[in-house]
Parts: sequence; structure tokens; C-alpha cells
Amino acid sequence: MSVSTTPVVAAALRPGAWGFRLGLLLALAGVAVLAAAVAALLVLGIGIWGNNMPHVWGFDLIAYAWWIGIANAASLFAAVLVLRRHGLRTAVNRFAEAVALAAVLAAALYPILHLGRPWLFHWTIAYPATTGLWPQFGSPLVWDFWGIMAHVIVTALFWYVGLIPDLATLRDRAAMQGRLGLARAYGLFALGWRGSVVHWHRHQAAYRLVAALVLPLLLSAQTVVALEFATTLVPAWHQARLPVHMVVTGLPSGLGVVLAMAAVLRHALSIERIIDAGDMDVLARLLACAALASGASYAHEILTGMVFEDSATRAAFTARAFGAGAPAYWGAILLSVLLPQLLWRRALRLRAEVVIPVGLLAAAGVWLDRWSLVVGGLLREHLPAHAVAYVPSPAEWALLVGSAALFGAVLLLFGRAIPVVAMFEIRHEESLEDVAEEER
Amino acid sequence: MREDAQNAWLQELPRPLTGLAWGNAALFDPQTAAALRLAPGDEVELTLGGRSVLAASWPVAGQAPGCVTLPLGSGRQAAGAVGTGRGFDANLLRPSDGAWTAPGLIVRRTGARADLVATAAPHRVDEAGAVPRLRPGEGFAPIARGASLHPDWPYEGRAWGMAIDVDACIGCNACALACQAENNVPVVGPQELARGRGMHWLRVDRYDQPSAAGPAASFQPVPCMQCEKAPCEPVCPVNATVHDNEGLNVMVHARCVGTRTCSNNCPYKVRRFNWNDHRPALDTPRRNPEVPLRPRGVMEKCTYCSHRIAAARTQAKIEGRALRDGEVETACQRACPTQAITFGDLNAAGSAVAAKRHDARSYALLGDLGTRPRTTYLAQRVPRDTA
Amino acid sequence: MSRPRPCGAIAEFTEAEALVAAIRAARAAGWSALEAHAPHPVPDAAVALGAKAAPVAWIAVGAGIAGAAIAYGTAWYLSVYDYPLNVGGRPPNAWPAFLPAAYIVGVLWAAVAALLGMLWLNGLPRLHHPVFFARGFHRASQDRYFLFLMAEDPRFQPASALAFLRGLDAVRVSEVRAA
Repeated sequence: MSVSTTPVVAAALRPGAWGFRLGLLLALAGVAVLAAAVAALLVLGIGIWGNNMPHVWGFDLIAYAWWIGIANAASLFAAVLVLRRHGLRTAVNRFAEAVALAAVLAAALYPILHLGRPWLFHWTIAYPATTGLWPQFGSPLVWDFWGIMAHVIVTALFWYVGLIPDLATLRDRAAMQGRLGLARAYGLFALGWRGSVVHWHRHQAAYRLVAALVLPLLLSAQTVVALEFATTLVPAWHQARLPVHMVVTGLPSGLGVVLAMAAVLRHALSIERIIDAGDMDVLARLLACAALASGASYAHEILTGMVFEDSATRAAFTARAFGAGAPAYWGAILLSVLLPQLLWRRALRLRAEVVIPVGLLAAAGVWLDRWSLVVGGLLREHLPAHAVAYVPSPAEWALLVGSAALFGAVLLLFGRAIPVVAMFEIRHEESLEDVAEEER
Repeated sequence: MREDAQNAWLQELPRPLTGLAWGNAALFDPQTAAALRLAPGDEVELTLGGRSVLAASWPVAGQAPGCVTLPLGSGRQAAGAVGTGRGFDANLLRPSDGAWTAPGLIVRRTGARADLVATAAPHRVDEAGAVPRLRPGEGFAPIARGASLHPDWPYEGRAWGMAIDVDACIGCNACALACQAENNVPVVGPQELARGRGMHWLRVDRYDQPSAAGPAASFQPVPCMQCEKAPCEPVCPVNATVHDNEGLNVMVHARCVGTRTCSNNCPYKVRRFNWNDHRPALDTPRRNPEVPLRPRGVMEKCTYCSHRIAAARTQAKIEGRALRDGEVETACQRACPTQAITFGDLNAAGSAVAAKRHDARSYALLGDLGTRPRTTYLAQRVPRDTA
Repeated sequence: MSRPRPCGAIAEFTEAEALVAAIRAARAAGWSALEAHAPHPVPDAAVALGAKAAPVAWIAVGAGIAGAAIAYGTAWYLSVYDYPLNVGGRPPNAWPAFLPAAYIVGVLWAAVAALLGMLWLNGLPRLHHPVFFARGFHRASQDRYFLFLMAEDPRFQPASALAFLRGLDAVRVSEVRAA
């Protein structure tokens, strides 16, 4: 039994392979780009971006909504696996949570950086200031402050608490190998976990409880982002269906990234036995399913946008989906709805060279959808404005690339330092399988 | 005037009929432009009597077919940093006898795009009902307050309001310029203006109103509507834009962190954002000391000249009397040559603005959105046989 | 030098079922201060030890309600009494707009309380514990199961405890003493 988790531990404890080093180097170079973009932004101001009136939001909010969508879908997926006690959770739970955490960190950059005066972001927090003023609690941006805070805190805690028993394993393994410094480091973070059966009982209860609480929290996190748009008077945004639409269309991004990550990890870390073909099969079909659900939401949007809405909304939607905004709108549908349908073919979904691009392109498709909403949604407003097209500047591209690199760097370091799959879950699964075999 | 060419306020002010700024363009009628396959802003080479200039083309409703108007006064060689090299010099084609018209112009499309700063589309149609037109005897129902989930907020003291007569407006843009001078509104320059980053607190929208009698246009000055149910306010996370007790939608620059979500939620799009720091250029003795300069990264907008209101309120208090109707004049109001703008206390019995608000021509822009604007309009009147 | 009193006696098992059986036997024999250790959750063993998870849920419920109430209460107090402002013509207590944040904060408090409450109920973090000094205990986080009879038990005598454990299906039985 102990043999099966050895590759996981080995991956966490062995010195870096050249592929890992190259990847980390690239990611850190991207993080340096991010640092430069942030520094330029703080020194020169938001004028270096391509925004204007009425396009006051662009890459900033697109990337924010997109990263939240990835985090949201990945967390949702992990939580559902825990609640359903699905066998897949042993294989993908931990890194689905890590994907969520890394994506939330990438997302959390934007609410601060998109401000005209980012150094004053703490004014959205209720604290007794010398001005005597408080935040405006009715603002969707204050809801969002709490939404992103809750998202970061709960995702991180959920991930960490699930990790504690595995950190104890790493502590004991390192001690056995005589690496006492490392054992101390892991031991500190394992909080003295000693595998007490009673502790396990409470641990599992709390873990499942939080998994259940993650569902409403994630829905609200994505929903609050959507509400920043839906509560405005902009015709293309002011729709009750928008929060649901953003949750559903966000699913392919998170699942696509988890699928691509799973395909990369199982080869890179040689853990094909743990994340097996069956797991990849289920994951790929899940992405195809999510893409179908997303397609249904688009169909509903097109139907309501063209038929049931008032004339201002119809005009705005027409411009967004069939006018100047059409490439982004239909590009999103092509990449995040139609392309994943390839995965219904078993022969295709078991090939890493298919699954990785399809997963990542699905995520790119969701990015296009957010572009279509944030930029395309302003093509038609109440008054015929002379809207100068929004063209992102190099500074904005640098920020996007940088946040993606940050995401990659966090994931790489995560894969290097800690077990990429939950070892205790594997042991648990296998002990259950043993019992089942004996009963047979 | 040469002096005016060096005036950045004037250079940046949109020309009323074309919406162009920082330069001029050869004006074609839309059919001629279409026949020559000219898109707005395409560069053309104009040749007359063996001399030629390169110019931007721009279609204008009402321009006679087969005839091109070349505005004079641009394309200067020595007019300082502001005025040099803006647009093309039509004098180069003008006959030596000083004639105002000349036949035989040759137009050639160069295939390039001209460096043109446009603040409005060449053809604007009033789809939203922004400038309704009334025939004799017609009128609107009184402006309704509209339904709300919440109880109304009472304004028992003064309630500042503005009425703008679209019928009287000739689209001269003097109000926009007066506002700019009064409120230390920055000039952003042609590059930033072309990117859609103009800062004018008050803009004059033009709507083409073609009729049997010929081409025509309506002009609508659009300052902040000072909505009672201001959509910009509930979305601000830091209380940087709130109402005062006289119903002004005030913008607290010092409190603004620059989320720009207020601008997203403004259906009139009258809020302006400081994408860059304009203070160095503005901080000269020319500036109005009563109005603060705004730093980079904050929103700003029309205040109903709240500094003038404050000054009048103080003066009345010193003299121990009530404010008189018409005592507070906004900068746009004072500059208007046709007196299209009326400002005052809507709660004061017999005030001019209250009378205009209760006029049968009075209407609220996008009134069905429930924003309850304090700025309302008086509709244009048209003769019975047109429109 | 007198031998220090041991902290307890420990038995090591290779199978979870053996651990469950051992717990049941110890319970039947009247041992009250005992702890079991396993590399993964063993629900049967937890039931045999009488572990209860309900307090975790109650902590979460209480914290969730408190968090939501505090979030709404702060928004209400600060907007209505401390610094009332006319924001877009809404009344100071614009309750529909206060609900989303109250809901999110409630869920946040519930989730954080569930996780921190679990650690608190478990007495963690506790980096130093006598059981870590048991021989071979590092495999408790990998593939072995342990039953630990603690010296706090009033009937604990080193000899009888070891004798009892030897009667079980254990691969190793030893005394635990703090170093």
C-alpha cells in the first residue's frame, strides 16, 4: 500500500528536473514582466493603458472576471468531488484546489491595480479613519471586496487544511531520510498532526462542511463580479441572467485548466498510475459537459437578447453579437463551447496533445467572452456616443502575461514543494478497495 | 485669427457641425463622399489650378452635392506649439483674387488615413428620443417622478435645477468653453482627445434632423444631470460621490480612488476621468482659484458651479437676506448667447427655472430610466409642415 | 536514577480493521483514556472511540450567523447613525444593498470557524506530543495504525497495559516515554 504514494512524495522531495527549472525560469521571467508593468502603472498611472470614455474598464476587469471564473470552476469542481466522495477526488482534488488558489491570487491583483489611485485601495475597507468616513456599503465593489477576500481566505484555508495530513507524511519521510531541517519545516506547517482517529473524524467533518460552504461562496464570488456589471444601467449589462451566465460560461475555463494541468502533471511527474486514464477520461467528459451547459446559456442569451428584451437591450446585444463585437462573441462560443465537443471522442480525449490545447483554448474562449461583455457590451449605450474603440496597450498585455506567469510560477512551486495529489485520500481509497475485495 | 489658433481651448473645442477638433477637414456631402468611396477621415489630395494640398475628408449633412467646403484658418506654419501644423491650409488653393468659390477642383483619394481628431460620428440619428420635437399645440405631460423601491428623499430647503431650451440652442459651444475656463478643465491635446479622453464637463450633442425642408440639426448641451436618483452614487465603494442637502450630486475628488464604476453607471456619460496628471499645465495664474485642480486617477464632472452657489450663499448670509432668483448663474448659463440655459432653485415659488420645468415643452433626458434628473430640457418646436 | 513513569503503551497494526477490532476490545476491557492513530480517516475507529463531529458544525453555524449579523449591523449602524449620507436618493438603511456583503461575510465566518474550530477542538497546533516518541510512530502518517493507551487512565499500569496490547493482533507493542 505504501508503494503507491511514493512517486507523489518523490516528486515533492526530489531535486528539480531540467524541465521544471526551465518552466520556473520562464514563469519567473514573466513575473518580472509583471513587476515592471505594475511599477510602470504606479509611477505613470492608468493613462498608459488603452482605456477611455466610455471604455473605463478593459483588460483589467476582463482578466479579473476571467481569473475569478477559473478559480471558481476549479474550486467548485474540487468541492463537488469532496461532497460526492467521488473517486476522482484522490487524483485531482489537491491540484484543482491549487489551480483555484493560484487563479485567485492572479485575480486579486486586478481590483487593486485597476484603481486610478491604487495606494488608496484600503478606503474600501471599513476602518475608523481620521476622515470619519466609511465605505459605501451598498456598492457592488464593496460586496466584491468581501467576495474576493472570502474567496482568497477560504480557498487558501480549505487547501491548507486538506494538506495538513500530507505535510505530516512529508515531515515523517524527511525525518526518516535524516533531513531534519526539512522535517522541521514540514513539521511546523503540519501543526503537529499525529493522525489521531478522532482528529481525522473532525478534520473530515470540517473539510466536507467547508466544501459545502465553498459552493455558495464561489457562486457569490463570480456572481458579485457579474453584479458589478448587472447593477449598472448599461443596456447590454443590466440583465438578471448575467450572474448565472457568468457562472455557467466560466466553467469551461476552470475545468479546461485543470484538465490541461492534469495532463501535464501526470507526464511530468510520472504519476500516471495515480492520475490514471480513467481519471483523464472523466475530466475530459466533464469539460465537454460544461461546454454544453455553457452553450445552453449562450442559446438562452441569444434568444432573450434578440426576442424578449426591450429595444435598447436588443440593440446593444445585436451590436455585441452580430455587429462590431461579433468576432469576440463567436470566438468565445467556438473555443469554449464547440471545440471541447471534440472530447466526446474517446480516442481524442485520451491524448495529451489534444487535451492540453483544447483545455487551454477553452479557457482562452472564456477570456474572449469576458472581452465581449466588458468591451462589446459598451458598443451601444442609451445615447449615441462617439465611442472610440478600446485598444489595449503594451502595458496591459504585459500585465496579462505577467499575471499568467504568476499563476504558472505559483503552480510550479506548488508542484515542487508539496504533494500534488492528496496522499491520505489515496490511502483511504485503497483501504476501502481492500475491504471491498475481501468482502467479495 | 492667429491669436485664436494658439488658443488650446479653442483648438480642442469640437466644431459644432462636424465634431472635429485640433484641425480641419475638406467637407463633402455624404452622397459625393460615397460616390468617391471616401470613408470619414480618408486622406484626399485636392488640386485646383495646378496647386494641391493633402486634406482629411469628412462628410457633412447639408453640404451641397458636388461641392467641397475647405475651412480656412488651419494648417498654420508659425502659430506656436498649439497652433502650428493643425489640419491643412486652404489658402493654398484659394484663387489670388480672394474669391470664396472656385470651380474645377480635382479630388484624388490617396488611400491613406488622415490624422483627424473627431469627437462625434459624422451622422448622428436620434434613436433614443433625446431631442423630441413638438408641433404647435403639442406638449408633454408633467415630468413624472417614476416608481422606486425606496421612499423619496425630501429636499425641503433649496433644490437646484437647470432647464436647457433645446429650441434656443444654436450649438455654438460657448457653454462648453465657459465651463472649461471656469472649472479649470484641462486641455488634453489631439492624441489624447483622439483616444476618447477629452475632459469637457459639458458637451453639445448634435443630432441630424433631415426634413422635407432640407437638412437640419438639433443641438443639445449635456452637462451632469444632477440626478436625484443618481446611478453613479450607489456604485461608488468609498462615498466619493454623494448628494448634498440641496440635491447636488457632488464629486469629492479627495475621496475618489478611481474605480471608474460611476462612469459605467452614468447613462448620460458626463463623467470624466483624469487618465493623466493635468495639474502642471493648469497650475498657472490663469486658473480659477475657486475651483481645485484634480490629481491623476480621480473622476470629475459638472458641479453646477457649486463654488458660485457657495459664494452667493455666503454673500446672502452676510447681507442677512434670502437668495434671490437668478443670483447664482452657472458659467455655461452666463456664456450662452441665446439664454437657452436657466438655473435656480426648483423649490422657490416663482423661480424662472421652476416655471420652465413646468412648461409643456419640459422633458427629462432618458427620463424612463428613473434617474430623476435635476437638469431638464425644453423641447424644440417645429413648424406644422416640417418633420 | 529512578525510571520515569511512562506516558502510555502503544500497539502497532498493519491493517485498519485490526485497529478497529483493537479499539473495540480496549473499550470492552474498560480502558477509557485511549487514542488511535491512522494514516487516513478510519470512520469505524472514530465511531468505536465515540468521536463526535457535530461541534464543528455548530461552531460553523454560530460563527456564520454572527458574521452575517455583524456585517449587516456594521453597515447599518455606520450608514444610519455614524455618518449618514444621501447616496443616490436611497434611504440610509438601503437594506437590499447591504444583504450581499452580509451573506458573503456570513459564509466566510462559517468556513473559517469550521476549519479553525476543528483545529481548536483537536488541540492543534501541538508540535510536541509524547506519542511521537513511540518506536516506529513515523509510519502513522504512512501505512501503520496505532492504538495508544494513555497513562492518564486511572487503571493504567505499565505492565497490565502492555499485557493487554500483546493480546491483540499487533505487530509491535511498546512503552511510550517522553524524552
